[in-house]
This record gives sequence, C-alpha cells and structure tokens, in this order.
Amino acid sequence: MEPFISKIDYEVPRYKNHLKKLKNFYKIKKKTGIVDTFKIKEGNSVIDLALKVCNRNLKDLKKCDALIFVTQTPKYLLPSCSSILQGKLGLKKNILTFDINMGCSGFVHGLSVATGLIKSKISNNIALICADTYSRYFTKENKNKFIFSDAASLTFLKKRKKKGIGPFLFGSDGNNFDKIIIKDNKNNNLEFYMSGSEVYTFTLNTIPKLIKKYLNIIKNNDIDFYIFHQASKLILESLMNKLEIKNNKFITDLKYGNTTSSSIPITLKRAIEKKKIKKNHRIIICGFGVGLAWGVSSIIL
Amino acid sequence: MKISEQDLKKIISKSLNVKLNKINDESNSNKMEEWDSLGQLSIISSLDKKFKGKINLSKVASMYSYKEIKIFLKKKLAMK
Repeated sequence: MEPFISKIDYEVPRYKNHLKKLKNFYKIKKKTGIVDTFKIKEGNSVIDLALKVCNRNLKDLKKCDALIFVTQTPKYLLPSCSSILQGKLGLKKNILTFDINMGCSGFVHGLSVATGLIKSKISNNIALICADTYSRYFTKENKNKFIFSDAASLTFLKKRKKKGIGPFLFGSDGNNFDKIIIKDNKNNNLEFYMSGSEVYTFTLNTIPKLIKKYLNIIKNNDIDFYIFHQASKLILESLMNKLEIKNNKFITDLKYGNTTSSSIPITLKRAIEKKKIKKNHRIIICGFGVGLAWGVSSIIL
Repeated sequence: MKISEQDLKKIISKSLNVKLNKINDESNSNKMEEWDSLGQLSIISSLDKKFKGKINLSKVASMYSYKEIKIFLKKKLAMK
C-alpha cells in the first residue's frame, strides 16, 4: 500500500505586522511579494497555534496512530510538542508521537518520515503538523518580521493502492549553519538572524541542480505543478527562471508571507481550494532553508 | 563572458534605484541608505541574470561595496 496526502488544513494568526506603515513599503513588496505578515498573540505559543487547526480536525486526528510535529520554535526544550498535543487533544495513548527539528525544508522531511512509517507498516494514519512562531524571536528593530509569519499546518496521510508520494532527495550543508539562526543577542535574549543575500546565493546554487537531478531520477517530465518553499518573490522568480519552468506551472502564493515549514502545505491547500490543483495532478514540492538543508519530492493527490 | 565597469555601475544603480553618478569606488552600504539587505539581493539577482547563472556569486553575497564587487568580478572573469 502507498501513502498519500488525504487532507490539509492550516491556521495563520490574525495579528499583523503592517508593512504598509513602512516608508519603503513598495520596494519591499516589489522584492518580496509580501504585503502583511502575521504573528501570534503575546503570551501564546506554537502549541496554542497548532491546537487551533487541530481542534477543527479532531475527528480525523482521533483515527491517527502517529502524530509528527515539525517545529524549531517549541514551547519547551523538553518535552516534545507532539506529546503535549496528544494530551491536550485527548488522543489515544497507543499513538507514536515525536518532533522533528527542521525549518523551511521541514514539510518535505516530515513527509519522508511519515511515508516511511506507512510503507514499513508501523503506522496507517498519520497527522503531520508543521508549525513555527518566529515572531517570538524578533525584536522591534528586526526587519525579518516583515518576511516571516507564524503559522501551523496539519496534513493527514493515509494509504491506498496508487502511488501518492515520493521518491525523495535531500541535502545538507552544516558549514553554513549560521546563515539562518536563533541565538543570543547583545542583551542575552534569543533573536532570529538571517543573512538574506547568502541564503539567496545558496538557493540559486543548490536548488536548480537538485530539481534537475530529481527530474532525471524520476524520469517523468509530466509534471503538472511546482510548489517550492514560499521564501520570497525574488527567490521564487529566480528559481523559476533558472529552471525554465512555465509561469502557469509554478505556484507562487505569498498571501501569508514566509510561513517556513508550513509554506508548502498552505500553498498546496490554497491551490486546491482555487481548483488549480486537482486529483491525479503530479506536483513537485521542494523545501530549502535553515540548516542549511533542502529536500525535494513529488506528490499525486 | 564580459562586464564593463560602466555595465556594473548601471546594474548596481538600477538595483538600488539610485542615479548612475552615485555609483563609484567609494559607494558602499554604509554610505548609501538604499544599499540595504534588499538592495544587496537585487544586485545579486541582476548579476545572476546578466551572467545567465554561469558565475557563482556566493562571495558577492557578503560584498557590500562597488569596489569589492568590481575587483571580484575582474578576477573571476579574467580567470575564465
């Protein structure tokens, strides 16, 4: 039996960082494609955000025998967010729960683990949660708050006869670990840092080669859509041009800004809602970023 | 593959949205408000387009002055 994505839902908080208030708003919008970013309420955590989307899907969650939580902004260093959620949601106790510490490529990483669990018959129904709250690590002056949004996505995986996910291809470059990092600032508070131009050149140097290699491996040029991590308009346009992907096959959706590991499932869900992506479409998904790490796969709904 | 100093100045001025005569050997991010992180991204993106992705611009990512970029490209292109 083959794993496939049966359902996606997501939650974005309603509190906004209004970019329009900035004097260089039009310049930022032109480069990033982002108009507003969203943040959790003061005092809330990634657990509160994930609970919102989970509570809407409780019936499906109760059927799951595995709960995977992808996050790099957990409420506590320990225990894992997945354990906390299992308790708060009242899910059965004979369930596999664990967290994965990955960022913008985290959806692809999580999907590969979930796929492996189903294929090896360890699990049958899996809930894959991707959620991050970078806003907790932005100071008032930190400009990254105009790019990144807090968000939580919930993806359900089941099994069927027809192939639905894979294969996967991954990579990592730990020598550049400090290009996207949360570390102590001069006031000894944890703060988010990103070297945008270095991440941009990494992406341009790495991802086109990765996609070409992947397409060569799957030996299938019948790709309906490409959904990459929604980093920013500039990065996505550069990748689309480098890979010579037709505009109508390359989905860009920055309505919620860069939602890290949730950006692929949110874009996928919104494209399904718009009836752009339909059943049997083959979609290449690719995540890249913090680590630095990257991953690519393909899905058929 | 070639790029003249004038072409490089044009690319940087267009990327930063400043007048061409503002770009010279003294131009850098400390002296120009427009040369912020987004400006830097625009410069790299424009250079990548100019060279059709055939030059690795990783080192340019940490170069925040016209002179530095000019010297790097001169060396890089001369080596080709």
